[in-house]
Order: sequence, then C-alpha cells, then structure tokens
Amino acid sequence: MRPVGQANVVAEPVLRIEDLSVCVERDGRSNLALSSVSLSISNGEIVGIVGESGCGKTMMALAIMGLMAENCRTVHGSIALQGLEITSLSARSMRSFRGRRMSMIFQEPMVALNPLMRVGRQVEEVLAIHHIGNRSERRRRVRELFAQVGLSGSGFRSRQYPHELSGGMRQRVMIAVALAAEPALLIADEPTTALDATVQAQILDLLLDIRSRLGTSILFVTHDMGVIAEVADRVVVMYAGQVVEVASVQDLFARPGHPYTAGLLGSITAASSVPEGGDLPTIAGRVPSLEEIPLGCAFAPRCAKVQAHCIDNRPQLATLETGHLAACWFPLPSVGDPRTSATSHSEGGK
Amino acid sequence: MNLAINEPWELELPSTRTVRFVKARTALRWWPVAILLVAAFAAAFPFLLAPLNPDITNLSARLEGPGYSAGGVRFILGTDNLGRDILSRLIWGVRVSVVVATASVLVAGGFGGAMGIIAGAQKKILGPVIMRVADMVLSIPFFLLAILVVAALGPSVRNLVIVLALVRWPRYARVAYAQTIETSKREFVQAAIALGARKLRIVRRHILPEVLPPLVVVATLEVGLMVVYEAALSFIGLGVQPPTPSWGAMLSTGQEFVSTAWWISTFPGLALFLLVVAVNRLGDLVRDRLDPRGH
Repeated sequence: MRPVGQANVVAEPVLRIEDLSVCVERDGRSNLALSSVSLSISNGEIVGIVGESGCGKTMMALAIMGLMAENCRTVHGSIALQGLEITSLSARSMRSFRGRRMSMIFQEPMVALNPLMRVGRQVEEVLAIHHIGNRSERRRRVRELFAQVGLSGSGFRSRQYPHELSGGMRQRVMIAVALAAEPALLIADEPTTALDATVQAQILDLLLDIRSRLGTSILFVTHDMGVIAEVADRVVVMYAGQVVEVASVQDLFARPGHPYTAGLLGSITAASSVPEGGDLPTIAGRVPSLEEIPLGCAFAPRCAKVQAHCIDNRPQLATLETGHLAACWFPLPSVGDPRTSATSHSEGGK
Repeated sequence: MNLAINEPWELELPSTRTVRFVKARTALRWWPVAILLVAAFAAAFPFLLAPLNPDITNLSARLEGPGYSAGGVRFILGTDNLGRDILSRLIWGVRVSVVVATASVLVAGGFGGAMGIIAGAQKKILGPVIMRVADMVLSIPFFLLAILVVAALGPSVRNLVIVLALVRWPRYARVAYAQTIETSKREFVQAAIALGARKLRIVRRHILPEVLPPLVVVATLEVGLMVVYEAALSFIGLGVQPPTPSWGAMLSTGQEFVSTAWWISTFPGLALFLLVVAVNRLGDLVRDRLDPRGH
C-alpha cells in the first residue's frame, strides 16, 4: 500500500531538511523562527528533537507537515520527503501527502479526537480521505490497526466515543489514526506529555514496537530528556530556532558538547541527586523571544562559560567526533577517556 | 447544611405522593408538545375538526356571538361580519400559520446556515462579503422590505415565505458563522487537516455536527416569531389574501367590530398567543436539552 518509493537509493533518508529557515511575521516585522536548520532521518530511525518551549520544535514539525500558520513563511532551504522536495509542492499534492506519507500524533489526545464521532470511524476516516480500499476492507483494516496499537476487544472499542476511553487509550487511537495509511514518517509532537507516567511508558513501548515492526521513521518532539533517552536513536537539540547539537543518544548523554545540552541533562531530576532542602538544578534565564535572539551565540546570555567571542559571533555546527556535532565556540571537553563513538549503533542510519 | 438527625426514623424520605407529584410536574413541562400536536393535526386535517365550511357566508347570521345557533347549526365561537363560523375559520387558519412559519424557518435556516458555514470556512474574501450582506439585511426595517417584496412579487403564501426567509436568514448565518469559526480552531479539526482531509470533508464530518444543534435551537425559537410575522403581514393585507382563512386577516377584520363583536378578533388573538407561547416554550426545552451548559 505504501506509495512507490522503493526505487530510491538505499542511502536516501526518509526525511532530509537542509538549511531551512522560517520567518514569522508579526506586527509588520518578521523574525526568524527557524534559522538554517538541518536534519535527516533514515529509514526506521527515531530522531528526538529536544529543547525548552519556544525553541522551534513544534515549528519544525509544522513546517514539515506544511501546516504552518499563515504568517509563517519558508524563506530558505529545502525539505525532502523520500527524496522528493515538498516545500514547493502545490496545496493539493501536499494534502495527499499528509496522513499518507507523513503523519502526526498530537500532544493531547483528549482534544485531537472528535468527541462526536466513534473512534473506529475516525480511524476509518483517514483511509477514506486517501481512498484506500472499499468499505469492508477499511473496516477490516481498522480492526487490524486497533489490535496493532493494543486496543483489545477492538470491535467493541471501535464503537466507543472518545469520552468513554482513558487518556492512554485515546492516545492509542491517535496512533492508530496516524498509522492507518502506513506513512513512512511519523511526527510525534509531545505525544506523552499529557499522560501520566505509567501510561507514558506504555505509549513509548508501543512506538518502539511500531518502529521495529513497520519500519516507520519517527520524529519525536519533546522537552523531556528522560523520554528521549528511552526512545530516540539520535537527538537534535534545538535552542532559539537553531540546532545546537546533534548526536546519537549515547554520545549525547555521555558527552554533551554544548553547554545548553549539558544544562538540560543537568536539569533531569533524579530523586536521589537532589540534596535535602536544596534547590533543583536549572538553567538560569529564559528562552529569548523571536525578537530578542542575540546576534552571536543565542545561548550566550545564559551560558556559564560565555566568553567575549561568543557575544558577537554565531557558532556553526562543527563536528566534535564522528556523528556528533555541536554549535559552540568552546564545546565542553569529553568527560573521561576521549575515545570516539564508533560503536554507536545508530550511526548513519543503515 | 446542618442536619440534626437524632434518630434514624427522623430521616425523611420523599413520600410516594411527592415522587408522583414531581414526576407529573416533569411530564407537564412538555405541555407545549400537546398544543403543537393539536395544531399540527388541525393544519393537516382541518376538514376533520372544523364543524362547518369556513368559507360559506351567511348574511342572516352575521356578527352573532358565541354559542349562537340557527336552523340546527351551532356556531360555537360565533360568526364574523359575513356570517362565517369563527371556529371553523380558526381551525382552517392554523394551516397558513403552521405552513408559513415552518417553511420560512426551513428556508431561512437552510440558507442562513449554509451561508454562515461558507463564511466561516472561507475567511479571506467570501466570508466577510457574506457577513456584511447579512448585516445590511438586518439593518433594513422588516416591514419596509416586506412591502417592497410583496409589491414586486404580489401577495401569496409562497411570497410570504420568501419575504420571511429573506429577512431572517442573517440570524442563522451569524450563529453558524460563529460556531464554524469556533469549531475550526478546535484541535480535532487541525488533526483532520494534518491527515490530509479536504475542506468540504472537514465541514461535512466535523463542522456540521457542531453547527446543527445551535441552529436547531434558533430555529425552534424563530418559529414563534414567524407565526407572529405572518399574522402581522396578513393583518396589514400583505399576506394571505381572502377568502383563505388566516389568523392575522381575522384579527384585521375583527378590529372594525371590536366594540360590538369582540369574539371576531379575540379568538384568533388567543389562538395566536397560545401557539406562539407553546412554540417558544418548546424552543426553551429543546435548548435545555441540546445545550449541556444549561441556563
């Protein structure tokens, strides 16, 4: 059922974003929400995008889906899905891609499902939109999908309304909706943020399971480092609309190169690591708004290791070790032994 | 609340009588339905209910009061200035009220609702144009427009419906417009867009089910107003033409004789009152049912 794309070169990533800049116009002024962002996801890979709120994570997801608000514009760069440039596509072909070649899971399953429609119908709807199968084939596929996302007794579940399901079940329905047309790329925008911890773990397991069974590539947007550690193969750290670090998940957690990444990792709260009565570790300051992004390193005002050079010059992504890039003039030294990460399993996709 | 219950038997449970009373009162809230059923029946089968032919004049029995009988014929609610039976005319008159009110609400609601949804879905050019036209229509005095249309098209039931629909559609358009805009912002609509759904499909599957309930509420409340408007237009002679019986026209005839033959205008007025109150009350009940937020 997957659209013909098998002719692609093996090395062709599912998604390749190159030098993408997006500007937002507000009150007659335009500001860069994404500046020169590059990213690629290979087949069956899970890439996590992390960063605080307002760093451009969701903007990136929306840019890929072609769902940016009307005051946003791609000023530069390219987005290629399975080797096909999509920034220049007509609205019509873009629509036929959405849901079919790439799909999205939303943050809050409570509101992303239509409360007046049976959940089975909502899954079927995606198939109908893309003219997949006839009525009975669609029904069968819905049952299949419900089983796939772990909604047992699917015949009965599919006849229920969203309000009759728990948060976790609703998110499973959302995932079934997103997977229905067998997209090559799944964009998950904070899919577990609205769920409680145990359900969160189940949903993450489900996503990992889907990746290994269907080979779906997943772009996982989150601000939760713990979740990233659990699911991602590779991590892209964003700050103020820029990519500041790219690394495999092992390298990133073991040897963060950018002070911002180190700050994020330092802010993970482990119950044992906080002294009695002590403050939780944080990164001082806040994410700059689009209007006030500094000319030099965007993180400079909050950086503990800031030097004069950082204020006026913007660092570019530079390789620290194979597959590990950071945009910092003075990247953190590797902790412990300086061996390279040649053993990292996710290097270069496959 | 400070309930001091010393002994278990002091705890007062509602008596069977109270329960029955409450139940009866709940059922009685639906009295408008009974009245409307009678009206609907009368509109559909007036010949079964009306004791006499409403159009037969009898000049020897003109302006007779309620209960008058002559030659074995009983005029329960009296006769009008041409000796026609008031009760029979009243019963036949329901038809015009019901038909005109329902038809105009359906036309105005259908057209206005569609316009509102289109305006809400096409926010760039078409939307503002439609809504400004709606504002314009609302700013034209009702009777002025009615006289204009009737003068142009001639008085008839069909034209009456056209006039009423023309005047009232903006009301539905505004409700549908607001609801469409609001629903469009909801995340499940955004999700549908992210899944590749076309606009028409989104309107049909997601917007329409959200727009219809408030439209139905407005429509039920509008029916009452349409009954009054129809009567008003017939009263000034722009509506249904004689000899077709209409409550508005009957009121109009009756006003000349109000000091000598009060029954000619009183009974149609009463009937009008009853019908409108029943419709409005039903509208309230429907609203309470459809609007979970309550009032």
